[in-house]
Parts: sequence; structure tokens; C-alpha cells
Amino acid sequence: MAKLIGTGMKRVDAPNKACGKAKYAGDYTAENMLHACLVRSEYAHAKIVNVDCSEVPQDVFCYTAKDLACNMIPFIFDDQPALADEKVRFCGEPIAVVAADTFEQAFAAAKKVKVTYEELPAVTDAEDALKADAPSVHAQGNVCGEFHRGKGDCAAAFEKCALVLEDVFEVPPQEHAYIETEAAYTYMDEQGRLCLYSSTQNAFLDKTTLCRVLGLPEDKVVSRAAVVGGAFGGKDGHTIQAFPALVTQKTGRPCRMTYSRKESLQASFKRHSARAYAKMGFDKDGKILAFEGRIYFDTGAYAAYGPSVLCLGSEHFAGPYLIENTKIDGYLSYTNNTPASAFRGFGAPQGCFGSEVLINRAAKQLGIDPLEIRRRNVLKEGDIGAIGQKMDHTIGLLDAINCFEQSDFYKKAKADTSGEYGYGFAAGFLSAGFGKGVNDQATVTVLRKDDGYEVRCGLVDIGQGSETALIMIAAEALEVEPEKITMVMADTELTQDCSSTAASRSSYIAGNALLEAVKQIKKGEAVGVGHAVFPENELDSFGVHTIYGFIVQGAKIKIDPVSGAVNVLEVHNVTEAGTILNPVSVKGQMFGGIVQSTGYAISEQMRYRDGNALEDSFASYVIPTAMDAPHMTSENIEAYEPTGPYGIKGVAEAPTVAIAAAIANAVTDLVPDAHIHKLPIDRVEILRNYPKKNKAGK
Amino acid sequence: MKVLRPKNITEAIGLQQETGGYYLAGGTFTMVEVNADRFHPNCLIDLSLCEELSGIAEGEQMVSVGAMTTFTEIEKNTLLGKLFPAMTKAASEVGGPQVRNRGTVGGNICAASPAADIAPALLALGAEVVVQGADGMRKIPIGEFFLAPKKNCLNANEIVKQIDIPKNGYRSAFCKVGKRNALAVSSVNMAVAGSFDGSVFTALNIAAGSCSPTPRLCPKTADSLVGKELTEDVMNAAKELLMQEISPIDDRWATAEYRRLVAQNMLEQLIGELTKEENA
Amino acid sequence: MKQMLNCIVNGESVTREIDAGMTLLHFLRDELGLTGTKEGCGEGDCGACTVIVDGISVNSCLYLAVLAEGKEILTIEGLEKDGTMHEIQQAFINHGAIQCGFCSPGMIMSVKHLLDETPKPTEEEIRRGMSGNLCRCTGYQQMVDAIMDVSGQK
Repeated sequence: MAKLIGTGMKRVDAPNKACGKAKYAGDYTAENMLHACLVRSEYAHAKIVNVDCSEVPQDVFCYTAKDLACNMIPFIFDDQPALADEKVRFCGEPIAVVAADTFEQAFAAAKKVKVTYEELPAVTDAEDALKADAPSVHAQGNVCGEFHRGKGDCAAAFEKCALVLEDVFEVPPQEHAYIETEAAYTYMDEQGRLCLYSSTQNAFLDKTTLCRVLGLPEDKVVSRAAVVGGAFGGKDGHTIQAFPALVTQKTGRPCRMTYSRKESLQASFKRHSARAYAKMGFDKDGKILAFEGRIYFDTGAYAAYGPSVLCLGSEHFAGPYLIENTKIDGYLSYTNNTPASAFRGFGAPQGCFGSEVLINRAAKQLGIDPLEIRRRNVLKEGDIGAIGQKMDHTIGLLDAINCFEQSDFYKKAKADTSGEYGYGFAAGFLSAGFGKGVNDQATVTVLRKDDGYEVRCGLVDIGQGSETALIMIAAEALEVEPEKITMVMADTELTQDCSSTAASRSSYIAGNALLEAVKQIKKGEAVGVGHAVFPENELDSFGVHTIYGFIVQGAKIKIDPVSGAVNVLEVHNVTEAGTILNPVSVKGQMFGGIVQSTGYAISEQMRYRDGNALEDSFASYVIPTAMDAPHMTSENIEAYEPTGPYGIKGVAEAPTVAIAAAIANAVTDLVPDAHIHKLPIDRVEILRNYPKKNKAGK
Repeated sequence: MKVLRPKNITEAIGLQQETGGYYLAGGTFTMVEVNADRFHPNCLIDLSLCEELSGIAEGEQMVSVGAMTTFTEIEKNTLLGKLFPAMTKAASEVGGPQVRNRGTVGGNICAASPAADIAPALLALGAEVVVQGADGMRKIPIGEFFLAPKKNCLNANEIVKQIDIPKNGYRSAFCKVGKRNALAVSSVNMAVAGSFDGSVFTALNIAAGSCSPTPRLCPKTADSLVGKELTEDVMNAAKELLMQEISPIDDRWATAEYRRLVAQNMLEQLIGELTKEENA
Repeated sequence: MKQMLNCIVNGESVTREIDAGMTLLHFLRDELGLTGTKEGCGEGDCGACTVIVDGISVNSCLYLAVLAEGKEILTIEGLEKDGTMHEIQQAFINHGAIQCGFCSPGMIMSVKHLLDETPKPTEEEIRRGMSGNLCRCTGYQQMVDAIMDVSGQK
């Protein structure tokens, strides 16, 4: 039996996907199926005076808030109705569901639903929303959350610093831009149960949502994930599921619903935009003595996972460094923008952009190499992190920096005297797991079968490859070939609730539960049921984490002097994530995350005018094509996290955290006078400051 | 909706007059409008079976490019590449491969987007649009073809048959800036074409797109660069004239400020390209 | 209005009466059940719906089905031959170039077209050949590696 851990085992789901056989939610169909679409708000903030469906043709079904048993989506807070009732709080908010025999009929009928509004003043900036005279998005006001932590004495420490740098950093709302838009298919089975296949990160939460919103008992709903065409956080929680389910509940007929790209862009969750005030003090050797940061996150009209994003974003704001004196204040505001929620990196990229840019400026002013200044400040095992958390698990950042320094990329960068290219570096970390105070557990079942084993796990393979990862772990533990393992995932009937596929936790938590189940099988049981709980930090702070993955990244860029466009030519990445379960998959996660955040750095942003999104297609919301993506290389540090299955940690989100700062730092390398403090990087600022001679004096 | 598929131009014009339908070329613009619920035609008249609209033919004075010639065909055509590099470059930077495989030169100019990539190249090269309609044939200088955003000068029954480009021996170059390196709507595009005798331009056309309601020639800018040594002062004066000749706005593709900066840089870049010896 | 369509899809002759306004994408997915071809935007911006018509890659969302009269259409389902995957499909699998897989069918069809035209493309030509297809998971690198491999360059 060959050892599997650490091999690049091919993904088990890839053949079906390569051949067009994989079944996504929008691929389901049935005789008698209804097609549904939504009536959405045309205003960012308005009272709904009346919803008139009388013009809708007789053979078309139309449902509004009054057709729901409970009009409240389960999220962290109960603040978001499934269908807007008394008022709308963002442009594109769902108001009514329309269903017909064909999509064209439903779409035409939806236009006949007349909604009468009384427009209200809107607030569209996170800081403005906290002012006393701001319009209230919700009755209780616009404060959705606050975070205040720190240690030591910042004011005194800044006094002692050789260099104090501060700036205001702004980052835009970012769209997940999964190529598969939100989709769901519902039908009634022979047992009279409402069954759902959806593009989701949490089949169990979907079931909870349907039970609550439609008023159905638990045994009358079955929820399953279809093959998911990308998620990145944006499909965690309710996006579309209840709408076709409502149609099926009312009509008894199957129903399918898929959002258009325009709907997905204008009304789905976003990465929180943020404004970060960051101040960092250094001694003459580049040691960071103090960090003071204040960050405002815009969660839009509803909280969704915003309160957790606030905590994680604040926790990671100061970067992966040992800093004795910190003061971190985070604010989460309601506004009338599109709701923001989970997005790969979960608040960390927003703050880390500022802190990594400041460290770079300090390196330059103090005459210290950008890797060296980071090495002098790295967190090590046993250190106390920026919000007071004990760093009591594997930390390989120092090794990662040392490894990066040995890379061809770094050596070539140092040797390049052409003056044509800019080089920038950054380091980052990202927690795994939900954090303290959030139920973070998994239960995995292993069944002995005639010709192998069946592994049942409630998590979803959202495209990142968790099915293959769990098969590798199961085969390794059971000492069989991977072909002997069959996976059943994300099915509320057959698997157990493992909560969301999120927080870089899947392989770690489900892997641990799986190993527990295997222990029982090895004792001779026919069925093994394994349970695992994510470790918690001893610090008493909601949401704080205890296990982190680490990355060091460098970017080589060129600037087009005509357009000021930043062309990211090469990126090198070093990862520390404990044992690398599957190096091919980890590389894929690194490369995908890097390009996603390259887009964040150079071209992506949702823009709003009075709450109306300007971006309505992939023509104006521009994600990188293959001609925009850099050539990438990636290495891993050998490390072992004792609490993880075979020593692994989660790492799917870490690559998104630092690369925007690395690119910004590379721009500054070529255009030193450009003030880079906003994303996407401003081409006008580059053109206005583009030097007459390049950095080599040529 | 119905789709009609005439076999020749005369039949197409007859069907248009009968139905009031709209002509369909490659569909890369029209179908976007239909799918996005912005255009609701009762009848589309597909021109892909009209053989008179395809092909690239070289005459003594000009090259005729059939209206249904795709961007991929233009990009790959060696004759066009030799005579009209600006046109080849513009075609090669439209959208992505699939769009270039379907999008046509005739369709592109009829859509009359201010940002159409092929338009500045045709303007700078002095192309004429050959149009056939119920009342016969006419030749329209490309500079008179565009009236406003998404509005051209054709009657509903008129079909662009071909684009005639004079073989006047001009050097030419094209440049485009969008938000990314492929699948990009131009924030600014520009083409230049002219004769350079080794020290001065003896003739020069400059055309800019996405900087005005329609792609347009900038004759004052071009004239200011003819017959003069291209000193920094001359270039700066030309840039100032360019700023008077274009009228960019803020829209989702770029700000007016950005467009002005880029247009100036582009002018300098393209003039530089045209004066290079290897482009002789 | 209904119109007749005769064409060849993945080597098989097909005759259907369809709505004249139906796109080739919806014809393949809804009429023929060939759901391997995906819709990512419906506006020609993402390439998920790419199929090959008479040897040329097109966005099937922008292609009226009735215009395929008499033409040969190749979709992702037609790449497999006698249960054996096309070498591009196999290379994508071998190199980890498939994650969520939603862009994969369209991407693979674009690559097929690229390699039909340019059997040994440079990295630059590969990236240009893929530039009409958006992928949000992979960052494209492992796809580029797969294409270098399948064209005998690695």
C-alpha cells in the first residue's frame, strides 16, 4: 500500500468535470419543472408601499413576503428577511418570486409586478453611517458590531520610536465572481419531502433556512449540495435556496432558479469594503514597537457573516508580527450597499494591505531589506499575538522567509539591475477554524462495505478538492487504495452536520473526525462515527483563533508607461501549512488565491452611485484573464501541526492576504513618488508620478 | 422573434423592407443586447449566407474588405498585415478569441460604439464604407459614418457591403488601453497612419476612440505634426491640440481625467512607432 | 416563431423544431440535454459556453441556434472517443488544472481550438488562446502547464 499523504493524487472529481458530466444545480431538470426569477428592489433605501401582482398572468405563480411562514434568514443576527416586506435596504433586494413554465414567461411576468416605493435617504459609507445624523438602515441604528482590543501602551511606545508611519488605506467591495452563479433546484420526493440541490457551502444551514422560512418540520426537508461551481465564501448561507423551495412548497412542482450574472454581481454578497487608519512605530533596527489601527468595515444592508469578518479582520490587522504594544479598533456599519459577508481571507486582506505597505515604507526609510525587516518581527511559537492571543501552535513564518530568500525568484530580483521591473514582498497569515465561541465541530461516519469503505461527511467540496483530500486521509488511515473509498458529502439525509465549508477548516476538522471513525473501524466495528472539535485559544475574546497558516509572497511587475497599468509578471509564494497533504492541490489553492487578489490589487472593484451598482457584467467588473495572471511558482515549508490529521493545517485562504500589498510595494519600487494607499491601484496616480528615468537611472 | 436567412444582398434588403427587421452580422453585439433584455427585435435578418459580404480583395488603388470578414480573418490576413498594420493590430485586440471568431468589421462599425477598436484604424487609414440599400449603392467616408453613441448614418434597409481602404503606402499603428489585457472594453484607443520621409511627416491621420461620443479623426493634431521636425515642443503642442479635439467623459470604463492622460501618452507612443526605421 | 434546425452535434445528425430566438447554448442544454456546456454570463464575457462550430470556437450564448443549420458542432461531451478522454482533458486532470470545474468544459474547447490551429504554442500564445475564458479558481497556471505538456513541450 503506497503512502498517499504528500503525493499529488489526482482529484477524484476531475474526470467528470473534464468531460462535462458533473451535475451542477442549474443542470437539474424535470418534467413539469417551473422556472423562477425574482422581482428586485430598484432603490437602495425605500419603504415598500405596495406590491401589486394583479397584472401577472393567471398561469404564472407569484409569491411575496406574506407567503412565507417566517420571513427571517438564519445568520449570525436575525436581521435579513428572505423577501423584503416593509422596506428595502439595498438595490437588488428580493421582493417577490415569480415562477412559470419557461424562464421567458417568468421573466416577462416579473416585470408586471408593480412595486410602489417611498424613497428614503440612503447611507453608503461605513464611517458616515456611524454619524448621529445618518439615515438608519435598521431600527436599532447602523452599528452592526465593534471590536476593541490591544496590549501594552501604544502612546508611550510611539514616543520611543525612531520612525512612526501612518496612513489611511481604502479597499473596495470585491465580488467573488465564481463562474457558476447562484443556483438551486427543488422538488417533492415520493415521501412528500421538499428536496433541495443547491450551489452552497452548507447544506445543513440550507435545511435550517428552509425549515424556518417555509415553516416545515425537519423531517420534511432534505438538502444536498450539487457540484459547486466556485464559492469563495459567497455561497455560505442563504443566497437563492428558499426561493425555488417556496415555489415547490406552494405548487408541488419541481422548480429551478439560477441568477443572471447581473443579479449575481449586483445583489450577491461581497467582500467588505474598508477604510483602515494604520499607525506603526519602529526602532532604528526595524523592530515594530507599536501598532495602532482603526478599521471601518461596510457590511451593507445586512449583517450576514459581517460580525465574524469584523473580528477576524481586526485580529489579523497588524500582520503576523510580534508587537508589544497594540491598539486595535474595528467598526462594522450597516449601510445601503449590497450586503457583504464571507470572502476568502474573511477581513484579513483589508487590514493587511495597510500594515504590509507601512512595513515596506519603513524598510525603505530605515535602509533594511524588506524580507529582513519582516524576519526581525516574526511571530514565533509561544508569542502573544496582536490582540493578546497565545500563538500556541505551529508557526513556520521564519522558515518561510528563509526559504523565500533562497528562491530563484528572490535571487533574480536582487540581481536585476535593469531598472525595468518593480519587485515587492509581503508576508501574511490566516487563521483556520471559526474561532472562539463558535461551534466548530465535525462528525464523520465510515461504513465498512463489501469492497471497501464509504465515508460520509457533511461538508461540501466547493471546488477546492476536499473530497479528494478526505479520500487520501481515509485511504492512508485504512491502509487501502484510494479506489476503495467512496465519499458521500453534504447530504442532510446521509451525513451529519459539520457546519460550513469555510474558514480553511475542512481537511483539518473533517480529517480529525475521520481518523477517529477509522479507529473504531480498525477495532472491528462495521460503522465508525468519529467526532472532532476545533481547538480554541485560551484568550477570552469572541472569535479569536489559535491555528494559523503562513505565507510569504513576492511580485515582479512592469508598468505600461502609456496606461499606467500594472502588469504582474511573476509571483513567487512560500507556504507554511503544516504537512502538505497534496502538493498539487495546495499549489492550486495558492495560485487561485494569488490571482484572485491580483485582481483585487489591479482591477477589481464594485462601484456604487447612491447605492446603485455600476458593475452589471463581467465586462465592467474585470477579473484577471490568463493574459493578466502572473506566471507563478510556489514552495512549501516542511512543518507538522501536532493537532492536525497527519500534521496538516488549513491554508485555502492565506494566499489572498498579502499579495495585493506585495504588488503595491512593487509599484512603489518603480514609481517611488506614487502614493499607493488604495485598491485597486490608481493608474492616474502612477501616470502622474511616473519617473522620467527608471530606478536604474536609465 | 423570427430569423431570416437571405442568400444575397438584394434578397436581404427586400426582406428588411417587408419585415422591418434588423440585420445580424456576427452577433457579438446584437446578441448581448438581446440577452441583456435591452433589445427586442421582432425579426433578425442574418447576413452570413450573403457571399457578396465576405472576402478580402486587392485592387489597384484599394483593398476591399467584405463587411462579414471576422476579426480573426483580418488578424490572420497577410496582405492586410503588410499594408495596414493598424487594422491588423486593432482586430487582434478585440475581445477574446471567441469574439474575434464571430465579430465582423461591418457589424462592429454598425454598432457604432464609441469604443469600437477597429474604428480608429479605419479612420486613420482613410477607409470608405460601401453601402447598399433599396435606393442603390453609396460610398461613405468612414469619418461621416458615426453620428452618436450606438448611432450610425445608415437607413434601416442599408447594408454595409464592404470597407475600401486606399493603398496609399502609409505606415500605421494602433494602441488600445482597457482595464485588462484581454476581453477589455477600450478606455482609450487610437490609430495613426501617415507618410514619414525619415525626418518629417508628409501626411498624417490620427484617430481616437472612447474619447468622444464617436470615434473621430483629430485633424488639427495631425496637421500640427506634418512637415515639422518632431521636437518636444512640437509634440507638446500636438498633445494640447489633441486635448481640444477630444471630449472625454467619466463613465464606467474610465474617468475623463484618465482618458486625457492616456490619450496624450498614446499619441507620443504611436508617433514614436511610426517614425521608427523598421516601420518604413 | 418556430423554425427547423438540422445540424450535426458530436457526430450525430440532429433535427429539431425550435424557437428562432433560441441560442445555441440553450439548444444544447435544454433541447439536447448536453449540460456540459455552461452559462456563466450570457454576454460573451466568460467563455464558459464555448463550443466549436465548423472548426471555430464560439460563445454559444451569442450564437443563434438556427444559424447552425447544416453545421457541425462539437461540445465537451463529444471530445471523449470510445470511453477514452481527449489528451487535453487528461492533461488538465494530471496537472490539477480543474478545481470547481465550471469553466473547464469551455476552457477545454478553447484549448482544443488553440491546439488545432497552433500545435506547439508558446506560453504567450497559450495565455492568449485562453483569454476568452475566465477561471476564478486556478489562476490559470496549472492549465498553462497542462497545455505545455499536452503539446509536447514539457
